[in-house]
Amino acid sequence: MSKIDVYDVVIVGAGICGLITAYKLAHYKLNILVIDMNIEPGWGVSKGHAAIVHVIQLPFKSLKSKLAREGNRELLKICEYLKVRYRKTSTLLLAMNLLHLLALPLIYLYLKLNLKGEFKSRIIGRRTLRRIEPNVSDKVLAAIEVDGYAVIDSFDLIYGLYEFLKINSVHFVFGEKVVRIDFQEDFLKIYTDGGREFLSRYLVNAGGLYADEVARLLGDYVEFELGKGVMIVFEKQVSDRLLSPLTLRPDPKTKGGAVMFTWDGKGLWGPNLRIVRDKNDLSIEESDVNTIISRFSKLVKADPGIPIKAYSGIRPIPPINDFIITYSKKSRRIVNILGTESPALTSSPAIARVVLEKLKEAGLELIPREDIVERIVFHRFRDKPECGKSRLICICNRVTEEEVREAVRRGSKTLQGVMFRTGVCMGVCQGSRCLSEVIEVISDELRVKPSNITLRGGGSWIVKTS
Amino acid sequence: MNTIIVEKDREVGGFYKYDEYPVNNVRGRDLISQFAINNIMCNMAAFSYDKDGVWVASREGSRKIHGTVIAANGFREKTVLELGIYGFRPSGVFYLYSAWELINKGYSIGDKVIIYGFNHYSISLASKLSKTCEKVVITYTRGSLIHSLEEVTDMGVEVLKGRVKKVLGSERVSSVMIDERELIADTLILAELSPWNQLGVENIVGNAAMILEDPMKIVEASRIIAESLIEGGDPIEVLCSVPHIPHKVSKRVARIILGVGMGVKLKVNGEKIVVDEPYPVVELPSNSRVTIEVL
Repeated sequence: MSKIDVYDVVIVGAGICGLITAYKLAHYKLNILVIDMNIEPGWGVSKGHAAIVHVIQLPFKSLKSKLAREGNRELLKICEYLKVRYRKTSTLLLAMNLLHLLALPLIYLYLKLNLKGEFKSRIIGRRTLRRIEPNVSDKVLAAIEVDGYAVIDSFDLIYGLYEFLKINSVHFVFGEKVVRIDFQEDFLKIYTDGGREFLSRYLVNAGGLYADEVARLLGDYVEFELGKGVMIVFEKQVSDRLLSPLTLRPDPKTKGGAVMFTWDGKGLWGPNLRIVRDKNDLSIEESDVNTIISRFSKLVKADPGIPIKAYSGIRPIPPINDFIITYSKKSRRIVNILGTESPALTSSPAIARVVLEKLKEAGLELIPREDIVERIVFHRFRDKPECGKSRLICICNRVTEEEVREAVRRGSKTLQGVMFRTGVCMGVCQGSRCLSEVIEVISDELRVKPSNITLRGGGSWIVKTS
Repeated sequence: MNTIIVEKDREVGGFYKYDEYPVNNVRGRDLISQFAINNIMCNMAAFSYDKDGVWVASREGSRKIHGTVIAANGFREKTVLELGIYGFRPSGVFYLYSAWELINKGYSIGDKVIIYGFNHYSISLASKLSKTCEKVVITYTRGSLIHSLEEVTDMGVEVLKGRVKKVLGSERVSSVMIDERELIADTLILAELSPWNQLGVENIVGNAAMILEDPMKIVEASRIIAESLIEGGDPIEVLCSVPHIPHKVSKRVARIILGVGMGVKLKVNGEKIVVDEPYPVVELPSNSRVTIEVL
């Protein structure tokens, strides 16, 4: 009989919540395993969002709202520690009509009261607005500015966490789904569809969109509504702040989207929200794009340039429209993190704090480690192009051949992984100029044939050898 | 005049380096091989531009090259969003140039291929694919100014007028919706082209300035720009509702190329002209402003 690996904590799900929980646990003397059904980290809910660090989440008394305000600054600290790029910004809630204008002072007071001085806000008059954001539509009458937002390189955060965890001896199993969990006296026995078995004293269910299925294996029950949101990426950023239309009747399921931007200066508009039935259905309809364009083009008068692409994500919305962080009904050795929709990215450090408290309360001993190793910084040409010493492979996003090789050395085995890690093939030309070379560099670095390289695993082959 | 050519790739020539499909008996590949130019820096990419020069990146280190900059970075393909293509995002959707490079490196990119866009570049690609693929279909909304549908069908490539609306398939492309028809395919190549002034450079040549399907006309357009820069003198302001190259031309050179097909009737400052070739070279009167109308 083969030996079964024994862990202190197994985390199911290598999305942002699973990884940040692992990140916090890795600071203690623990044997940790992370299992994810995808072949690289962060390929579930964590790849389909807008990479925004939020402040306002209604209702203010909800858990997700509290945890977002708590997680906000800590997430940026983690970004700094891992050398993940981000840009601080603010949000402008735009008054588009007379009713909005009349409600503005009241909304301002309400925000001020609830943000308790932690995040500053102010009313911005029309003239000041024109000066600070010249591309805002002339129809906007005034705005409330709320500080404390940020746009981050969320792929680098995911991969940065992963690299930090690897270097600090956290184990990973990718591409396998947990299919059965048995309760034993002091342990949980975890089975994957890859035929592997693990023993663990504790388990964290951070399965994101699939956390309901993991919960069911444990005898717990939750049902998600699936909310699909589409984002459009444009060539150009048109404002220095996030622009959001003021809403007098907020929808508890969505913050309503905004005219936003990415950390590297592309325009990012959306999302919309549409309830779907299939977790795998990431398709984009013409109506998604039209809804976003018609909703947000009213807010600005500048042209965002070429629409580069649209992407979508599916959020798991539980019936209470809030995060659920609870022990399993069967055992306090198991903590479920459920309903991790927006603002779960912002909240993730606070979610992890709650999880650690629950694990500790259930008996997990947390003895600090002294031998933490820092992530090795991934140097990028585009951070300091004038000081570069490499050959560019992608002109649009200024990515070098060396960066593509480094992405593979850091663990990416697919084109999508390399794209997310480096930004290659993700600019205006969408890989037109660099794809063929990128595939050859990846295959060279992995020492496999280009025909073995896939977009995202499985049957997503790119070329055949003729 | 001290001139340097900066090329991102390992070799010069771009698309035409491998182009074997003739236009008026001229093959791009042969044309490229005839050039003997000094001062070419391959593996060197221009990444930012301002009035006094261009920043380039290479293994030797990034540096700024001072001088007049001419952009010759070629076309870009219109994005799925510009084309109004929705649905899924599986593997197997290629932009023309990446497909072109992969084919020329000897890879197969699929068995049942749909190419969206009917122009010299997509046809040249189709002619190569038709030799190895099970099925090649070109779908299009606008025709080429120089190639006919018959040429393409004679190669065994199917031609279908219509708009690509949706891509289906979870891992790899499984089918493509063209208007209301669903075509089984494993590959979709997007080949609707657009000029691309990537760095916002003032002087632009070739497909970066206007889509030109005829290699000799690209040569001519480059000659006009070069002469304009060498001759100097006052520029002619050209007011024209159709694509034209160059955008600015010296009075001493006084000719431009228009992006129109044969038989088009024009009025140049009121004077009627009937175009007798695709991408006509039009002599301009030496006024400081010339208006070209298409009748």
